[in-house]
Amino acid sequence: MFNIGLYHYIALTTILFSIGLYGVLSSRNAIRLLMCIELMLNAVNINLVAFNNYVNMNDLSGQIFSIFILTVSAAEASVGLAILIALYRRRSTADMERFNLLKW
Amino acid sequence: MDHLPVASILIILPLVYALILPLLPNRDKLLHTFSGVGAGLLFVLSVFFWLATAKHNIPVYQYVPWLPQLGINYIVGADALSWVLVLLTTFLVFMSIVASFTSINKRLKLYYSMIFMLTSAILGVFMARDLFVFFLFWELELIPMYLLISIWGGPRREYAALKFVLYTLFGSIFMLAAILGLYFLSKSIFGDGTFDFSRVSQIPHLGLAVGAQILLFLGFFIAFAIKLPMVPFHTWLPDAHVEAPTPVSMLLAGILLKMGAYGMLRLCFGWFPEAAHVLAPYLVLIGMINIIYTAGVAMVQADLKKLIAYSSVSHMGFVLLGLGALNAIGFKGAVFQMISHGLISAGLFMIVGTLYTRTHTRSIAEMGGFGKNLPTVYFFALIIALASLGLPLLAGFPAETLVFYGAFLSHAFQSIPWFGGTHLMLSIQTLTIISAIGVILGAAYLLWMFQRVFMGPIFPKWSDLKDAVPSEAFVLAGLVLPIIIIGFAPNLVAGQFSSEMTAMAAPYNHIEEAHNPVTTQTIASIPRSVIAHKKGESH
Amino acid sequence: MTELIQNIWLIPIYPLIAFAIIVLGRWSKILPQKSGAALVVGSTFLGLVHTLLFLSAWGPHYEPISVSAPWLHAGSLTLSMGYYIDAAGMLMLLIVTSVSLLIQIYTHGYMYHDPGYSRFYAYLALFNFSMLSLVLSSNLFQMYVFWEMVGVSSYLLIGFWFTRPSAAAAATKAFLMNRIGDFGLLTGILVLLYFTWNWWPGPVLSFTDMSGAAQVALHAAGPVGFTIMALLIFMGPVAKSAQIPLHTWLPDAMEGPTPISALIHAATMVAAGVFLIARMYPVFTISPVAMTVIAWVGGITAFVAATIAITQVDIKKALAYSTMSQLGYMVMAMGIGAYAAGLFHLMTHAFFKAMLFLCSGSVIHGCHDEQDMRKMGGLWKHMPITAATYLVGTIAITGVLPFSGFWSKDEIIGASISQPLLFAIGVVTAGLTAFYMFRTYFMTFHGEYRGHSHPHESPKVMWIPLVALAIPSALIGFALSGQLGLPSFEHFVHYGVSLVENGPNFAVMGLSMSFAIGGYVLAWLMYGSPKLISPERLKTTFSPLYELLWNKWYFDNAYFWIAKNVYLPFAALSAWFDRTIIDGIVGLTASTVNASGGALRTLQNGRVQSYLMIFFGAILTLAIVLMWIV
Repeated sequence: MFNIGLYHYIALTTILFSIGLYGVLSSRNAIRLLMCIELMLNAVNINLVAFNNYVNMNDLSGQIFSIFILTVSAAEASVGLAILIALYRRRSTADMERFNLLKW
Repeated sequence: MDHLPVASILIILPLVYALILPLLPNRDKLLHTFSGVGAGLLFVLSVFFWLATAKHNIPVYQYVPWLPQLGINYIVGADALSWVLVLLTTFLVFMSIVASFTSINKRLKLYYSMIFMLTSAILGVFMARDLFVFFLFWELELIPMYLLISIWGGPRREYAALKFVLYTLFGSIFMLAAILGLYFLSKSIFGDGTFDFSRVSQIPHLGLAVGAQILLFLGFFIAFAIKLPMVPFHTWLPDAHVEAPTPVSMLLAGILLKMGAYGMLRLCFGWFPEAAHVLAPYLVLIGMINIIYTAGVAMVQADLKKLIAYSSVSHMGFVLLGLGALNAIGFKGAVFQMISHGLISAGLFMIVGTLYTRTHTRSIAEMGGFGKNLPTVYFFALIIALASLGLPLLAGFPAETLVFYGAFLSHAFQSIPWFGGTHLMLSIQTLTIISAIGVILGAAYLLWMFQRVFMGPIFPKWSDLKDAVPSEAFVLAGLVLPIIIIGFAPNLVAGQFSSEMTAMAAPYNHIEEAHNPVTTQTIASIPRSVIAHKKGESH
Repeated sequence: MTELIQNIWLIPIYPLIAFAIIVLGRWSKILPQKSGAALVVGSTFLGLVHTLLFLSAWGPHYEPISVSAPWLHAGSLTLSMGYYIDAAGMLMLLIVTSVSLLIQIYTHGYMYHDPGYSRFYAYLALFNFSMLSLVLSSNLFQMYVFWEMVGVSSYLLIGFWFTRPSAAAAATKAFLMNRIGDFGLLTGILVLLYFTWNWWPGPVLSFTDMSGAAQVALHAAGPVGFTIMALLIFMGPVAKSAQIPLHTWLPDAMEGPTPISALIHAATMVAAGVFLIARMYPVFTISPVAMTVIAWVGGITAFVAATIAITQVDIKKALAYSTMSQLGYMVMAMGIGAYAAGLFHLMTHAFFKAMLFLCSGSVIHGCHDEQDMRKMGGLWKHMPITAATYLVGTIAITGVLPFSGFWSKDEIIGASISQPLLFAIGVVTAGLTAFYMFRTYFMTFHGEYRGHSHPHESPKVMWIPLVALAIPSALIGFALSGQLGLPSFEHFVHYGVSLVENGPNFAVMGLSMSFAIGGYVLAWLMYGSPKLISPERLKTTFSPLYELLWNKWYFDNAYFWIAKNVYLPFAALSAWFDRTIIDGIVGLTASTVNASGGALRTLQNGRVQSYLMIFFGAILTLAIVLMWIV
């Protein structure tokens, strides 16, 4: 077998992040967009933990960071969903294309 | 008196008024009275302070650290130059508030608040002794002015207000750049950055290259030239005047333009003598164009207010001419012109306003023969128009005299290529003579206007117009009285800032001394007997 | 008391006080309607008494007195005001106070029913203040100040009936024409000051030091510059004394009430130009070119105005051109160096021309505001006193022995004999003068009445001043001619060493008087009783000449053309330039900013995803670029 090293983690997170980014940029449904954002955040979390392990083993700042991000992203997701529900009530749709009131 | 922060009181008092006004009950009469009394009090207070400090030679100066880390301090003060303008300001504000009694009738609270805020800002500009404070007040003045034009103005008020604000802001950028330039220069020269007038003004004398001086001079100058206004930066003024309500026009012409002139004199000409010497010919040339060209434009205006607005531009050209002379006479003439023009242009706009409240038109073609029905207005309009065209024994004359004499006797151009030496065509003397044609042109458009508006048969539709009401007569008389007093005894005013201007012109004295046409040798070469020969000695 | 008399600067102050009282009193409605006359006449009378008292205390050598006080300090320049009195000034003082006193009395009758009665008296007081101050000016700057003040008084009085468009236009025109002259005077003063300003031992520009200053200026400026300066100063008198080419305002000024025409546009203000030349004589005399120009301007004006006067049908306009012509004589006298003769004529002319104008006012009043001489005639029967005094004035102006015009005008002609061409002009003009003056006399007072109203003699308050003026008009010339054993005019008023031979030259005077008699005979033949020559026939025979004269040598048309085709287009062009080009550039700047904003705002399409796309795209690009560089 081969050792799992930092490169593997980076490769994984890059793939995860790219999938998330693709989802964010391409999806028209707001729910899917939110989920893709979570995907991107998770990619970052993995990155943080992995780097902590390989760069500085003695303290757990990477892990702590990722816990923070988890918390914040949970809050963010809930606020986002709330906004989405409010929007849905007004416009009866979750289509991102239709949310263009701020245009000009 | 010694410990009273005189300048700050004068700056803050109108602000206090502006804050009290919104709290008052919304009754028109109360608001008018409060503002009138308040402005009167401010005027009386400023006169009192001026007398009390000037009499005992108490310097008016206040220094409060504000953001000392950045070299920003709240410094205000007043010398004679500031005082005359402060008095002019408080007086004209009082007059314009009395003028508002008849001409303004909506949203009075906001209106008077804005007027007082404007007053505070203008007084701040005249009394600031720190560039940062100066700039702050300079910009602060825009907010109330914008609202005053855009809420109480005429049909195209928003366009005019926006044009005014954007134009002034455009100029302010250059001033800001110059201020920052001076700040960083002070940092490298003194070690600590400062905006203090008294220290910053030393910079040009500490070996600053002439090129850098010219850049800084121009930075300030553009901002002031727009305010003055100087051709070709003047087109905001006719629009702003035409749209602004009468009292605001009075303030605009009477005081706001003086901010530009004041800044030019104190900052540009007071601080950068070498740059001023290099640039003076161009300024005089532009001043000449200001006088002649806008007089031509005024001649053919069909709108009475626009005509007056252009005449205002034309008369501010005399300030440029006087400054460009670079001697005490010219400087004095420029300051005198600021004061005379302040009173006269306010009066002219008041006349237009009284006619407008009656006829609701500004078109000269629709007017005629008002002298018959409006004898009081006719009488005052006559005096003010005559003062404006520079009639002796009225305020406009001493100003123009000093400017012409100062410019003509000046040798500011002598060492400047193309303008000095043997180039008679562009010498300051020639330019002064051409400017003096403005005296004829000024008489032409003013008297022609007067003839069309006040003389001739009255139009049937105006036959039941009523003469000035007491408040209008009060304003007109209040403006005409100083015009006459100053006209008869100009030294009353000129004496106030005499030594100040001599000091301000001191850096330029070497120019005069180097180029005087009549030296003592010339005089000595004339036989004594010839000079001693006098009329009537022969019998 | 003597100190009070010494302070002659008080003389102009009296009318100023009267002016202030009338203005304030009438505005606050405290003063009764008809109190103006008493105040103004009183102030002028006080002035006259003061002048006479001063004169009696002044002797025996009549040393000039000059007192100055600073008026305006500016750096190294101090402009002063004060008073300066010498013989010429005293002469003017006497003329102004006495003539205006009589005219103010006359005004009471003439303007009695006018609604602007008090306003008129207020203006009269203002004029008196300005004129007396001008006369007493101690320096050129002060003279300029009051020079403009008399100009504005004249503006107010010409435009007195401002509801008449013609009066309003005439007032504006008079002021503007005078402003052109003032411009010249102002620049002349500036040039003089430029070359002398650190020389003046006393107050700058004071008349006492003028001869020294003239020398200094000549040395400093050189002859060409000096001559230009002198001619610029001369522009002032050209406008004020209605000399060609700045004369066209004077005939139009007749739109004012007749007392004004008598006081300002005949006797006093227009003479101020001659007075200024007299005051500035030290400057003019050392520039031969300037003197020649002055003499010729005066001569040409005398001749041209006389020719125009021949065709006028409005009695006041005819007298106005006559005034111009006589002023031409005075200016010519100054130009040829006949200082005393010029001022002598100024004095006699002040009396007889004031009287002639008052007579014309009396006629106009009697004929119910009719000014056209074609609608008069035969008025001798209806208003004998007016007719008699008019005849005295006419004889005086034509220069018939021993009336005053003979001594003064013919002295000028006599003095000009060294310059034959000017002499010829003077003599011919004398003939023309007799012709047009008798023409007006015959047309007005002889023959049959051609109007439709009922002419009547004027009230006592109007004809008494006429009679009072008739006496000096007739006699003062003879009295001061030096022929009666009394001291002559030159004894009092003279400029240094006389430049030309003064005193009457009877051979020359006889010649000019014979021309005058010729003019009289011609007028009598054409307009008098026999009507042997028909003016109408002459009119058609010499049609082009008549057209030229009738149109006043086309001066007005030329000015109108210049104003309309040169200045107004320039003004319109600048207005267009201002709105279109300058403001256009301002607008263009604004709209450029606006348009670029419009172009950029399409980027903001409101889709979050496209923003993100741009965001990440930019990051990617940046990352690639950075990798490339590193």
